[in-house]
Amino acid sequence: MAGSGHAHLRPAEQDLLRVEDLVVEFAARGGQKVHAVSGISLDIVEGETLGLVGESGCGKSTTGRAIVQLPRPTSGSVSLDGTELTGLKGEDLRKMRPRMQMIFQDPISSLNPRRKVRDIVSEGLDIWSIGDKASRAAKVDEVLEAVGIDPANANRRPHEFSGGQCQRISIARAMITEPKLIICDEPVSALDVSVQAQIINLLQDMKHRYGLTLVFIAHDLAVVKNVSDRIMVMYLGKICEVGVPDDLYSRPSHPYSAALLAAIPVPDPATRPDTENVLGGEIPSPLSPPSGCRFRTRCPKAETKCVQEEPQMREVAANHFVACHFPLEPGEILDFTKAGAGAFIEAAGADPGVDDA
Amino acid sequence: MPELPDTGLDDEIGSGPTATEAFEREQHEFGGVAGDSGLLQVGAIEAGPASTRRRGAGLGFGAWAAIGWMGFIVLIAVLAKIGILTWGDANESFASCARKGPLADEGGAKGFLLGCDSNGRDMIPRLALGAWTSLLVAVGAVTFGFIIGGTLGLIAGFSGGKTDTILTGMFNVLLSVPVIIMALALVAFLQGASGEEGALSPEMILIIAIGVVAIPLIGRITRASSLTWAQREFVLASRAQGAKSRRIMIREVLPNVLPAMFSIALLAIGIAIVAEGALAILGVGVRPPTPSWGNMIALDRGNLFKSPHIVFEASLLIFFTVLSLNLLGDVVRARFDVREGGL
Amino acid sequence: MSPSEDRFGDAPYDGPMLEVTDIKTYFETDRGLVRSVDGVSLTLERGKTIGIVGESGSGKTVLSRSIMGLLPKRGVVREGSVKFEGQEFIGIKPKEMRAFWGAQMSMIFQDPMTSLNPVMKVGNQITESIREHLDVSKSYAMELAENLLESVRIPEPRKRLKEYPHQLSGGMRQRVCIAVALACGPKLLFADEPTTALDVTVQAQVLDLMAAQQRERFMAMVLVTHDLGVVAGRADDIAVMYAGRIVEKAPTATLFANMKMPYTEALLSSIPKLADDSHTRLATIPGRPPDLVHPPKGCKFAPRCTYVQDKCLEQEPPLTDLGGGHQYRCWFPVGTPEGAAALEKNRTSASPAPAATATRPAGVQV
Repeated sequence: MAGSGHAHLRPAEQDLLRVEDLVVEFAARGGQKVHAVSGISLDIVEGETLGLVGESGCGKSTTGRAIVQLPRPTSGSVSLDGTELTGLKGEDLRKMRPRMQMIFQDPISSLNPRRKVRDIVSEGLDIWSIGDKASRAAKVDEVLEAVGIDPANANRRPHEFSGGQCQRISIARAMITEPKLIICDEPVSALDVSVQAQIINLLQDMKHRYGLTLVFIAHDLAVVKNVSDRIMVMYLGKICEVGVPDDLYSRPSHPYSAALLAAIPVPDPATRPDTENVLGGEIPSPLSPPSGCRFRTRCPKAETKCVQEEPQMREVAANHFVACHFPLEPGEILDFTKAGAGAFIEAAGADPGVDDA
Repeated sequence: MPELPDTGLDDEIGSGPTATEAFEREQHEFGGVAGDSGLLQVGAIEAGPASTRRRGAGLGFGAWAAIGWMGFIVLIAVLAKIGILTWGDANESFASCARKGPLADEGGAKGFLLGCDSNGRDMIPRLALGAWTSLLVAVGAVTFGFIIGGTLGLIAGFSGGKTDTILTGMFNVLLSVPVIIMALALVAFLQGASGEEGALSPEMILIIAIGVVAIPLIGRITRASSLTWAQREFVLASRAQGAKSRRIMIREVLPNVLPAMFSIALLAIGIAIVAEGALAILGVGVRPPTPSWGNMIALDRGNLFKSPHIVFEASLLIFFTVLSLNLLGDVVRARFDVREGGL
Repeated sequence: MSPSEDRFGDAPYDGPMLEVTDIKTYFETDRGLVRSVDGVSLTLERGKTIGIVGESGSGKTVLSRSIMGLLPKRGVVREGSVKFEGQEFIGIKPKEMRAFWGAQMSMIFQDPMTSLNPVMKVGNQITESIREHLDVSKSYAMELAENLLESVRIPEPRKRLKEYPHQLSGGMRQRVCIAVALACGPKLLFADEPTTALDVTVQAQVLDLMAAQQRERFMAMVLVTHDLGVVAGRADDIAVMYAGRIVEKAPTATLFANMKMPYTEALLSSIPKLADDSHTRLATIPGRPPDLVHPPKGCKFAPRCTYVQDKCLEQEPPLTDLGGGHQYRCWFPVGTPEGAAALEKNRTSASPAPAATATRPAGVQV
């Protein structure tokens, strides 16, 4: 998978956000390192929604947080609107913050239970003393109405609102400083199905109304397809595949993408779940990821090359990139019960490990 | 034509969570850990959530009794100190009454409802004034401990890293000194420092001594609470908006740490009252003739068999006061837990 | 004589294995009496799977726990009838229920992180149940445990027996939970959102595993989930719950092909589907679930229903049985002339949508 592939990046002048060779590693017990993100590159054009999808442990959340430098990545470059964020020192970085905001997964945990909603939403303006009291209040009202919360209720505390409403408040809080980029870290995963639809629609509306650029991180492939203009599939800290949703979903090129798509339960009784071809094995430990291609331990197409050489991103179709030595042909069906030769080569990391953050 | 369902803005705006949602949230908070998967669960777990209390269970009898008792004691203490209502003179000795308990009928104990101490002083005004002293020292010490220990704990939990390690190390060092020795040493030092004329009153010395002993204990508890809250996502959100650490600590974490700390404070006051008593028995503490519950026990514990009423009365007052504080501490904690759970 | 002893050696019971009739479960809270389950009836045969689908607050989790009897001791009102192989559960003492738990019926919970005891080795957690119900030696129980781990496809089972839960991944933990649940060979398995906390590939593995075990043991399963996709492939019958009641129940194929309840239809259309193009506008269900303490008069879903008419707000619809196991409660069901008329009536009479109604669909596809 792509260690340092840049093939999928577009010319830098077009980009609002450009991330190159992002590496995030955490210290673990016994001097070991958790390789959460290992050399990711991505770029977003203004007004685009990039969907980051993958399962737990793939590093998508870590990537999102590393982009906003919370915490700072171990290495790599992140540049927002031309400004290189990784080089900025404390105060300068702080000044950049209003331009990039985050929305979190748990609507309950992301709001301070002791503060009024009005104060929570207004925080962005208060910190930077933007405008006077009256104009701030007006802004809060405006943004609350935009997300569908009656400003008359803004003096209540979060526990008086439902989960969906709390998530709207989070969105309002993120939007009030008029950021250019919003990182949405699993914004609908903790919500009920019917509320999910409301929030997804709301995000789309806000995006159009305010010209936002979004990074949408999720594990639900159907949700990601619905909101994204471009999708990036991640596995164990690396990118597998980048492409346009309709294209990527109908013609997945990376075996892992194919496995993910095959595993999704479809609400249609006619399509019986494919009980034979379920992706087997466990995700290797990020403490010692497999050499070469990280997916090789579970891939039916793995060969010796996959053990020795890390695949780089390359274009397989128009605007469709994959990091794989043996990408799928259109229409090729994989049989996951046969793991490839690369799986049997014992390397550190075949051990099913503990979930990482 | 029926009322069409809400158009446009889909939620009934601001009308709050439904009964079920709030019920579920309490399960979530009850069983959940800060920063977990956040999935709402309806949990009818065997243990039962806090919300399945019997309906109408407001403050129980115990809580009201506790509030009543504390109010009573505080009132008496204040009135006695100000001098409005003293029920007699705490310092006047009646030789005829010395060591006579309330039930003694041989000569002269009549008119003294609670008897007298070994010096013949009337118990009632002494106990009333003693309430003031004991409460002053206890509340003072706890406040002192909270201001310093609480602040340090808040910083330690929030900052993490080196700051946390240093502060926790400090706490551990202080905690490894036996409490009594520390208190005695501090009292001795402070008495020496305040010199012969006594720049620091004995009450002040006790406040500082017990307060310093309390610092690491309170610091540890505050740190734990601060640590938990600092990991919540709204703190991250605040940082993402460019807030400085100080602002986040004071505006985001502190308001959440305070309620739990308040209930701990009530418990701590009870402990401090007993601590004052222990120090009095050891010979340090408020000097007579100024009464405090502790030194009244200390003074007359030699007469435990002949005149048990002295020790008994003071002990009983301490007992009820500490019990009330414990009950109130529990009630406050339960109240705040549930409300947070409803968050 | 405990009920389980009673069962062994008797002639096989002739009737549905599980028969729930009008079960009600209310919780006494400060706010009032929460009617979590308000009259649910269902039957289940051995070897079959029923999927219970609903959102949070629908009562699906409380239902499964109520049937099993896993509720807090105080503050709970439980009425109705739950018959397991003819044995009535409601009203019997907890001590008698314990004979059934583990041996006859068991449950898998949602979060594998918190379902296992973190300070007990995996092996001990499995054998705990075995030694409670079967009179076997410790070493024999460990052997059984090892076989169980193997049957749930955990690699290196012997090693795993001695490990602690935190040393296993989420998927493996859930498999261990399945092993614990199946240790004594129960006839009925409750799976309460068993895969919601798992990744999608692990979810597929675990669901397959459960299906395989079910076939092997001829076990019945109650699969509680909010995910229509999960039940579509794995359940024989599906019951859709809303506000504490079953609003529609049907065999799986029938439900998807011929759904009658507007709620079922709305639920299905609010889910983003893989087959849709990207940026498809999702149909949302306006409003919020009803207050279970003071539920509205008439149909509980009426305030949010696109087919609603005055009658719905006044009277609760009766249970309609279409035969073939398909039951529902609705005055103006989907796919009927009355339903279509109601929808049309609402559509035409709606005031022109203000700009803020961007989130409301023009109309749910019939």
